[in-house]
Amino acid sequence: MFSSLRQSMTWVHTWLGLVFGFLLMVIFFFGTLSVFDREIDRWALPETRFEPQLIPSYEGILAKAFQRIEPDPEELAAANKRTTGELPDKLRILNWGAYTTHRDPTLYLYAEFAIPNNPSDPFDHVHGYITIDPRDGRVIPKNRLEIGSDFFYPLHYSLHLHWNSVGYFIVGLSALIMLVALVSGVIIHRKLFREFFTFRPKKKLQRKVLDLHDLTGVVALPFHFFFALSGLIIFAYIYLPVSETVLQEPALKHAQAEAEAKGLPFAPADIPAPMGSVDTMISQAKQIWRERGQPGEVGYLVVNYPGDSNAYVSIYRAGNDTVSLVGQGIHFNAVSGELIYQEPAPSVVGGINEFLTGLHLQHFEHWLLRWLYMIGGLAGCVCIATGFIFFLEKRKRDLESRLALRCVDALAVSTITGMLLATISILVANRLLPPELVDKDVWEIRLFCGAWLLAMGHAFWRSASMVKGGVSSAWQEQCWGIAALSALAVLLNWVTTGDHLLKTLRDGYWPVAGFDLVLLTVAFAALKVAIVLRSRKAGFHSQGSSSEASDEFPEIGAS
Amino acid sequence: MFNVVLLSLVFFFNYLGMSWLAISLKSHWRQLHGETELRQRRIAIYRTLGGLALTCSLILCLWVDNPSIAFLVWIMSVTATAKAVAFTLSYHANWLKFLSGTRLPLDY
Repeated sequence: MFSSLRQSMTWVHTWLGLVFGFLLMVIFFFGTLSVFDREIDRWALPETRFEPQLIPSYEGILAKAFQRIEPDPEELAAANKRTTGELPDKLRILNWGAYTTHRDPTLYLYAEFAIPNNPSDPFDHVHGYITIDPRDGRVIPKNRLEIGSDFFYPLHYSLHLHWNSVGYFIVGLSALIMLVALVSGVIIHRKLFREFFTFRPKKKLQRKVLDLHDLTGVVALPFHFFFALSGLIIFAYIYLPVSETVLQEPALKHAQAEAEAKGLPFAPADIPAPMGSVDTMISQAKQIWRERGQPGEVGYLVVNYPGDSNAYVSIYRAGNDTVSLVGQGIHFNAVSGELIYQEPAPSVVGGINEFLTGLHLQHFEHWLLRWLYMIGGLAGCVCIATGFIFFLEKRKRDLESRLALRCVDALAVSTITGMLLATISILVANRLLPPELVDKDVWEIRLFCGAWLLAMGHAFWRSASMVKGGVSSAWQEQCWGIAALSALAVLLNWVTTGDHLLKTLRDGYWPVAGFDLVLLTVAFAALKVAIVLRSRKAGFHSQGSSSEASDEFPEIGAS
Repeated sequence: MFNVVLLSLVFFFNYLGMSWLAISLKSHWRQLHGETELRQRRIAIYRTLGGLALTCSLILCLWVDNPSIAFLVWIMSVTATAKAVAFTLSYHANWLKFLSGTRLPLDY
């Protein structure tokens, strides 16, 4: 079919890149935003704008807060269909957990509840979640959407398609395709090293767009490669669930043997017993970390089988100063308070897994690295976007495929400017909808989806000029929209919370000040692009549609 | 504060290193010096200097952070500065002229 490897790889790179590029753009963009998910949460939830907190006292705050967790209604409804009889009113609690990082003022708590009477899975369980203010245990109302960590971040890895984990599989397949695109891209690049630093802004659009595509793809290649790979590794248990299917029995035996070797109970004893002081166990764990020369705070706390005589408490050091999310666990008997087991350093394979997971999820305390990740993520977005534009530019004179190209152009507009419009729309909706509105979170998501659909409709409607060999008007018009909405979001933050930019800058409250500054930068950049596009469009009309010069996308910053 | 200075030096050394590596490529040499010949000896010197500067930045990263984080900071800062060098060559190539040390007798 193809006469050379390069030709066949070009085909693979072009067509897989085009088909999966739209998805990859969404995954990359929301992954990039997730680098600052907690900061976006602070912007969206004004009542949580206070300093990050340590894990609070168990006896003082957590014990009562854990008791308030109820099973998630959706999970419970699904579990009801898996069981043979009616579920009891009160489900047995398997464990409670609390996880925090150095950027969290609020504390995320979860619980696992056992589901009895499931003949195919004796370990079936459902979850419950709450977020609390760790200073007083107050529960953050469920209708407050944490836009960064609870919407943008899951959109990045699951597309919010939860039916049979289909979203995870789509994202996983896209990551795999991205690895293929990276390898095929390296193979087809004729001058990988010779043009390593090459970007020629004065060349024709097709050339300079390809330069930018190569530059952002090749220079950030290690970043793109390791993020796609680590993303696949993190969810490998979903893509290849062997321990829950073909290897279920040996996996269960292994888990039992492992627990026995560590001296940790594998199941509750069904004998009620009072809990010892978890705060004392936490103090002991901190003392052990100090003695190891690694003083630190608790990042993750798990209480297994609370209220049972087999209960035990697992305490993990926060991984602020390491790539790994948390340190090795220290386990205590929850009743007597005795130390049961200290996890040793991980094996080589375990260490690599922890490194790759931590590398991707970045819970470490390193603001410079966080911004460098942001730059890497944006480079990925630019790489994909320039790939689309190159594809269109190369083929726009092909009269027979004009209609197909119009569709590709409209989809490109939808996934670049349309996605930005939707993203800023949810922020505007967040500030405009009253906090007491029931289902405020649902309405915010509806407005996000609605804005995106409108942007897509607009992109298809306004792409007629693409057929004439020009540039779709949708690019320019959506840029105006992005500029206006971004500025409006900053203004609304001021009006509805009083936290204007000068105030947050003066107070040094960077989560909100930084996000406002990013929004203003986006507004400025979108305005500039819109102005350039308008002037080019004016040139296009004055010279006639046959003009060669105005037939191109403008050079950004040329005006 | 001291760490901020060290991390600034990381970027400085990376920028120097990537610039020297860029100058050692004939296309970018021509951008700076027209048709003047780029001799093999100069290429070797620029690449050695580039490698040394990048090594210095890695050592600084290891000084500031533990090895796992230092490696990530280094690789990501190299990536960012490589892009910065590419854009410098695109818009202000003459800024890098002084790094090529054309007045030094390196071509014998």
